[in-house]
Amino acid sequence: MSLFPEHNSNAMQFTPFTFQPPPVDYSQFEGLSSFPSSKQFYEASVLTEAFLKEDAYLGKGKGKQVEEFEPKQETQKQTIFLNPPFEYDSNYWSTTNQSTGVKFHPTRSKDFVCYVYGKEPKEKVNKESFTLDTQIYNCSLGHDIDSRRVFYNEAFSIFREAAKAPLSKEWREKPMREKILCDISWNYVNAIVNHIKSLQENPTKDDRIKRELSTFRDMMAIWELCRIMYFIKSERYQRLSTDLVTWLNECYPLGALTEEELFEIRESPNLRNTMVFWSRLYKLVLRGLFPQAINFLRSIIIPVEVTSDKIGRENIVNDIIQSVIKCIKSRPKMASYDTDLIWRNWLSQCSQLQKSIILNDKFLEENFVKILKILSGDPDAILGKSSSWLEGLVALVYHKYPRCVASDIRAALGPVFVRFSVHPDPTSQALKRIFYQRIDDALGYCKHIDLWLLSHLTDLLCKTDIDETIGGKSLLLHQHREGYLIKFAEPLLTHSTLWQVGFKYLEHCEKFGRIFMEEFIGKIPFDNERKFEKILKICEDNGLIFDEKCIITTMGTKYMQIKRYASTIIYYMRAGKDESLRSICNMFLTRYIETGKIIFGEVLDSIPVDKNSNESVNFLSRYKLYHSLIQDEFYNQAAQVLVECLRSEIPPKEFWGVLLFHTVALMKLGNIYIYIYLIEPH
Amino acid sequence: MSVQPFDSLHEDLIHDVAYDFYGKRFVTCSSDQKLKVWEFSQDTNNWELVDSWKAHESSILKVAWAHPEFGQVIASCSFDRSIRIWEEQEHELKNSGKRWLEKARLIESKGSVQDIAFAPNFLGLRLASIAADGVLRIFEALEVSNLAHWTLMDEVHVHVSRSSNPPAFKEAEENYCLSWCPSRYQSPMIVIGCGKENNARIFRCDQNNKWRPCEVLDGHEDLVNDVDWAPNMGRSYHLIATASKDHRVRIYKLLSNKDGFKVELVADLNDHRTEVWKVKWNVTGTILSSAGDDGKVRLWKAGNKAENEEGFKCIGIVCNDRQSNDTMEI
Repeated sequence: MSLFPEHNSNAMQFTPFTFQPPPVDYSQFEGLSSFPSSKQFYEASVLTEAFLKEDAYLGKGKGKQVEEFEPKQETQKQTIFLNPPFEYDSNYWSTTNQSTGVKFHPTRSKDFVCYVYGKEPKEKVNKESFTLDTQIYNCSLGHDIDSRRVFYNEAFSIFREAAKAPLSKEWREKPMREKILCDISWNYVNAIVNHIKSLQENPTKDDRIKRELSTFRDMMAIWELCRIMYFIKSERYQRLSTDLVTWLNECYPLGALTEEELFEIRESPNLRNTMVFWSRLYKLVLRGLFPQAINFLRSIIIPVEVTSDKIGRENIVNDIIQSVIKCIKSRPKMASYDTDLIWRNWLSQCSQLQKSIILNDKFLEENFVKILKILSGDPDAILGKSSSWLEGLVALVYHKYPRCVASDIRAALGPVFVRFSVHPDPTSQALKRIFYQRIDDALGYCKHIDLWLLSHLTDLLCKTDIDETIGGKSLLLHQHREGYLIKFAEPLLTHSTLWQVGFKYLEHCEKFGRIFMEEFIGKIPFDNERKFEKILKICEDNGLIFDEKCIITTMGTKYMQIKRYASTIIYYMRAGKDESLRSICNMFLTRYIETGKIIFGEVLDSIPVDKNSNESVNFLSRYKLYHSLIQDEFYNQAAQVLVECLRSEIPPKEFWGVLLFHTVALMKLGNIYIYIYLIEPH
Repeated sequence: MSVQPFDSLHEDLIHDVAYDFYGKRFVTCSSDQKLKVWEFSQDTNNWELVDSWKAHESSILKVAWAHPEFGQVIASCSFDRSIRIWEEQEHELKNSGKRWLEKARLIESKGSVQDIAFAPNFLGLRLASIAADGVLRIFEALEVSNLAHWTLMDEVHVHVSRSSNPPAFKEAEENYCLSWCPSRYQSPMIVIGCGKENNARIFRCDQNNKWRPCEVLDGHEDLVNDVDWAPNMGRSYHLIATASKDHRVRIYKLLSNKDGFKVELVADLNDHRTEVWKVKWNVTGTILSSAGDDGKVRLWKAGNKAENEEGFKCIGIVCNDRQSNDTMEI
């Protein structure tokens, strides 16, 4: 699985470096995979290149000491230009009856309409001449959610798993905790990668897709750096430096050689004297890309013929190259536990080799020595050959502090920022603060990158023991977790397909989630019973009794509008809308008085009525029963029901006469006994 | 970030637009005396006109859409001094001009009706109106299934000093606006922009269903053109925004105390530098929009205290053209 676009065929080919992370041996915390498997590290990435170039450019401001904590960047003002524009002349527009009007969308917090607004009614203004503008502009500051629907669904299932995971305090000391965290983190990264892939497969390469790709790559870089720096705290984890190098190569890969560089290399009679060659070799060594570096070095070994005059000189250079290759190959692996001794021995070999290199060709000598200096962790050599602060920092950690832990990295930052400045874009600033272990500040910059990243990273960081590991200081991220999650979930709440996911997020916000549910649950439009029941389920699950009643009433009213009274009554009964039910029943009775027809018979047939049902509906039901008993000539039973109706005092006064009329009619039959007790019979 | 324009097809200036509860439709009103209902079409991805009719005898100044719990109901108010209640007739065809049936005409006002607003649904089907006569009127449809009957529940003169002896008002001098408190956990409240008094005042409904004037939002140096009460969203305080003729947008914070509210002016924004006519909060009460004679809509957001960003900051501007010099594009 590759994150970046396919390899540029014009660029110089390298031996593919295969990275196959799983299966992971979590028991040792050494095989933790940094990324989903990547086939090649050397794919050119336009965006990454641009970033590196820009950073490198800024990094050339040598000698500038960057403050550890720079002032926050100002909130950026977004500008929307209306197109087509309305007629506007600042000199006289305000003197006409025109101004601007605005109204926010009732469910989407970043959508609004604006229009040219008539300040006064035309009756109050003298006739004036202006161009009438009747355009209405629907504006949206929000992002397109639809294109991220698959990603959001996938990410939500990971979020839900993370919420269920046993990450409470009692698990803190257990290695399983770190394994779970890394698994969750890994799943999130996979989701990001999947989205990047889908974007890359999208045939339309418009600006929106490019921006989205850039955002997701930034998200990937930040997420993975957080994992490396914060999620794994085991003392046995000794891969920080190698993980950082892998992270750098994956997120900010070494770009392919340019056409000019390739031309220079191809046309060069002797690669040993080519600047581009050495420049590339330095990068490979800095970034720990040793197999490629070795291939590079091998390419400048010149086969020597016995008869050649230069045999001695060439042999010497070839020997040096072989020694450097040997030195690179013998670099100790950080995974071994007795590395300290092996490392010291290897550094000593490097140092001896450096001293032994004396060549007539000073250019060659200098380059070999510098390669060895980088390998042995010389800060000047490393930073001098790095083109950005990120490259410099990671190379410094990798070559000088290969066994360092996350908290040691601060020490390495000083020399890096003496030489390099950091681009003010939010991603660079966030990365810088992650290295400084100022996670609250880093998240502050993530806010400007993407709300998904901000909310989900905060949520996962809250599940780590990060508050205890960074100076025991209480971090704000725990306070902000809910706010960020709600901010992320809010646009989903009124989305046509993701609204349920939005509400599920709110269920994980114990403090404020319910308030947002109350505000938004009633605003979900429902066109069918299935969706309606889903909405009610959310109300039931979260105890939103008032909102549930409102929604049921709204459903009832919808049926009322199309005169489906049975459904209306059922929903109004469910909502406990006694007044409305009384009104509907009275309407039926009034129609009976006016027409003599029982039009509510069929309506009541489909309504389950019992003694606990609404009294108006119950009355109507009993009254209907009275009529059917009369029809079937069960007069005594009909009389009993009629007495019930008379005693109930439920029908409107206008209807009492009708009931009495029925009573008299029954009494006229002669053998019907109607008992009206003044007190309740026992 | 996107803009989707469409022509409202009104024959005169638009005075108001109102979304329905779900934001799937909206209604526009104009000096051309017409109401037009628009519906968002998923097929064309655009707003389509679904009905248009002459609704008043004069310019229509405001329009409001009721909660769907009470059916599809629109109220409109006009310079003709009336408020009209319209109910959608599902069986009538779209664009037939008959789809919206006038169910009631409320003619109690003695001047042009300048603002109307339906109460939040938990208060029932109530409608507040403020007319050029300076009287706040609360109407209620006691029987929701019968929209022909509206009861005038209360009438309150918003000028406290004039209420005992109201002088003859001068239509041209007065300008009123109102907004309901959307919180369901408070007694019913309305904030009213009080015409020539150059302030806004909160009116509260007591236990006897009588509306009483309460706190004053002062500091304005000219007419208050618009008021909007922010959705509460669990905050321990309320926010009310005002738009004023004195070129400023103001935001007041209302903190509960034993007597009512302690009122604090938390933002006094003069970026428009011209008369401001409209203020409107978003659904979460986190972004305020304001619009004025400078032809721009400005969006304001509260700073984050945790990030040492105090006060309200302009986060966006809607501009008419690219010549504008105070915008910053990203």
